[in-house]
Amino acid sequence: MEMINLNIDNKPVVVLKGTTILEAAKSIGIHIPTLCYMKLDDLNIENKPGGCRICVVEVKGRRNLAPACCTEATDGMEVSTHTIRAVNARRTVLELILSDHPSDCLVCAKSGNCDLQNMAHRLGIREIHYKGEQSTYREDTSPAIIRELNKCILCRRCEMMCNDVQTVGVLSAINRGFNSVVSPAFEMNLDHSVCTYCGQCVAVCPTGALTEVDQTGAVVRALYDPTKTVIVQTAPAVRAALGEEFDMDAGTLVTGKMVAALRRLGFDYIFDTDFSADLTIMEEGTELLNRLKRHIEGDPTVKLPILTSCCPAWVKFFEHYFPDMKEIPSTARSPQQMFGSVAKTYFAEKLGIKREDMVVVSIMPCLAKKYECGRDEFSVNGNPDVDYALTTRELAALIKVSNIKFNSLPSEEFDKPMGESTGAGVIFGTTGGVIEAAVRTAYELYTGKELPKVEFEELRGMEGLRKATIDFNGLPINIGIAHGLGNARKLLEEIRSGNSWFHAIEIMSCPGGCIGGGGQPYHHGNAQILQKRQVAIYREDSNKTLRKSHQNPDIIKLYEEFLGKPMSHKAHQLLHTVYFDRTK
Amino acid sequence: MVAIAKFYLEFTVEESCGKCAPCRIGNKRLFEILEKITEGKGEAVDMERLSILGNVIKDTSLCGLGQTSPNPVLSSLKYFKNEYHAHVKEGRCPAGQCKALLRYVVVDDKCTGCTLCFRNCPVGAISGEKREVHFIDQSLCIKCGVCYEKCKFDAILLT
Repeated sequence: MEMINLNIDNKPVVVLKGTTILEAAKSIGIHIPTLCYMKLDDLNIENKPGGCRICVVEVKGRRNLAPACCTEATDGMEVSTHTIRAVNARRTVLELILSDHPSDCLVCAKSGNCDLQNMAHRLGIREIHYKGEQSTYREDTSPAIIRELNKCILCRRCEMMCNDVQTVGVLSAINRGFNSVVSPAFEMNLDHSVCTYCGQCVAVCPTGALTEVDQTGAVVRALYDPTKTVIVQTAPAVRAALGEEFDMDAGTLVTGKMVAALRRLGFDYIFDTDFSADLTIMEEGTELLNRLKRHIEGDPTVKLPILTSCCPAWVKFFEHYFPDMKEIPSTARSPQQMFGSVAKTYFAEKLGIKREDMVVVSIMPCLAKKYECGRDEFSVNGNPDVDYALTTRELAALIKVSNIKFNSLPSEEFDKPMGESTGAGVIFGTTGGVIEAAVRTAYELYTGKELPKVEFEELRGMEGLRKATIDFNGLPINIGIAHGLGNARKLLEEIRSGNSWFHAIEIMSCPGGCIGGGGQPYHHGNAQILQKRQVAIYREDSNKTLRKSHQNPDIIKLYEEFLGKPMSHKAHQLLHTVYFDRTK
Repeated sequence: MVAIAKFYLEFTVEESCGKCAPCRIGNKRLFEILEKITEGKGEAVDMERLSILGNVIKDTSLCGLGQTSPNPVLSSLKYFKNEYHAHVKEGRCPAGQCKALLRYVVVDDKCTGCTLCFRNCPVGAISGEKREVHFIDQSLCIKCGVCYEKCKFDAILLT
């Protein structure tokens, strides 16, 4: 590995050959401003189109300014990052970008969190000297994502995520010059495309061009409707990230405060999606064991590997790209949907109210959940099982506008009977968690023995594609794990060609799993935040007394009082589903 | 020469791929300023804006198109500064190219009142009696130049 020597702002720096000027400068604490550039370390995700020209620096001997993010440092190079020429150029280019951007800051959803706004502040822009025509394009609204192309700065991050990382391929820059715009093919609306609503485009957009559909208004109206009983369920990944919206460090667990805040907001019952995650394990674990038994007995019709089905973006991806394999995923619904289904039957009965008088709201790290609760099959006589899915960000905004001092709230408990969860339910929030939870239950149900150790480190980590073999008392079970739809595609193609080695595969659409969901607090390109959230999830698991889904007393009661047993007729009706071929 | 610079900018604005901000937006703004100048609405500060913007576009563009597209503007600013001055400070186009800055005016001491221009003006901008000095109403004149062509006494001045 060859090392090279160069000078940045008169400071010597030694780096590996191939390092960019930007990285070399960062290594000695010089932070060159960037706008379109984004790198998520550890996840192998990098966007460097070299288009914004904000990171330009002076290089001795070079005629024009060099973009630091995509110019390789060379031996003997002399770089000046903040000469008057470079700074003037940077500010002029930013003024140009701002001159083609609506002055909507006061009412924009991204205000306070906007990379463009921050850059204008950082570079001290006080006047835009080059006013002129602004690009306009129609607004595109879908069940989960809103596209306001007038605010787009053509950084190409969304295109990179959608094509290279997720391999969904919906977004691409079209037209030319000033008329360039990022759009689905044939300029169709997002809801007509193969968009999975994974929301990774929203997670990386530096401006307010891509945001989520805001349902807080509808939720507030329900809260103030005296005829409605409003139930809320909270996803595991939310409690590991919500604190970031209140200036807490990434990785701070705020479960107790989150419950307290929801109570003060006026929700009638505060329940936990982790409860229905335990329920999902009961159903999916039983399904897995049924298939394994048939496989061991030599049944040639059995479909293996079984695939997890709790991620709605993954399900839609599957329905568009691999509909020929519809019988392979588990038929179990997601925890969000199982919760709604059980709440509007079992719990509504307990309260003695009609399902139409119950409003179920979920707090999710996800954008696809907004789409999922609107799927036709997840409603009864037109009344949806889950009425609204709010993102972590929307909840934080609601807490702030309600003047609740989040940071000084006491820690409170979830309500019964749908608030109790085991550690297995919590780890659903991270990649590797769903399958680890499934293994904890499947192992004990299959072998009849108690697990010597509850933690399965071999299933944990951040690499996009992982595999491990778990020994079920002599029976080796091959487990595959993928996060990011591009990685999921690889595993699916193996299955399609008959080359799959796995018995069970867990798939999550978002990097890191739900902790990196499209609805989480913005990470602004810092992948360390995802790492810290993951650590928090496993910490919450280890702090619980009950670690395995089948030990949850409220789940046991739910089966005794209502469902019978896993995969019973009633369980099938309420907790299972089918998939659809979405190729036209 | 201002009109020529504008002509080249119109081309490069069309051809720009749109990937980098300085060329995509900067060239458009350069063109808009030139349009403003050739329409007679230019301000003195526009010349400085053209120069600063042109140089930044040259210095920061991703490819050769953006790195050279401001050249017609920058070199015409350097070698034909008087033409820019005339447009911006005097409201006059020395090259006779910018229609908005052209005026057709009757030269009083040469006009014989033959009414030829009056009869041929397509918009009725010219007024005047037989054997009396005629007058062109600038607010109606569309600068078509027919009166200039028809006059046999060189009594119409293009300025």
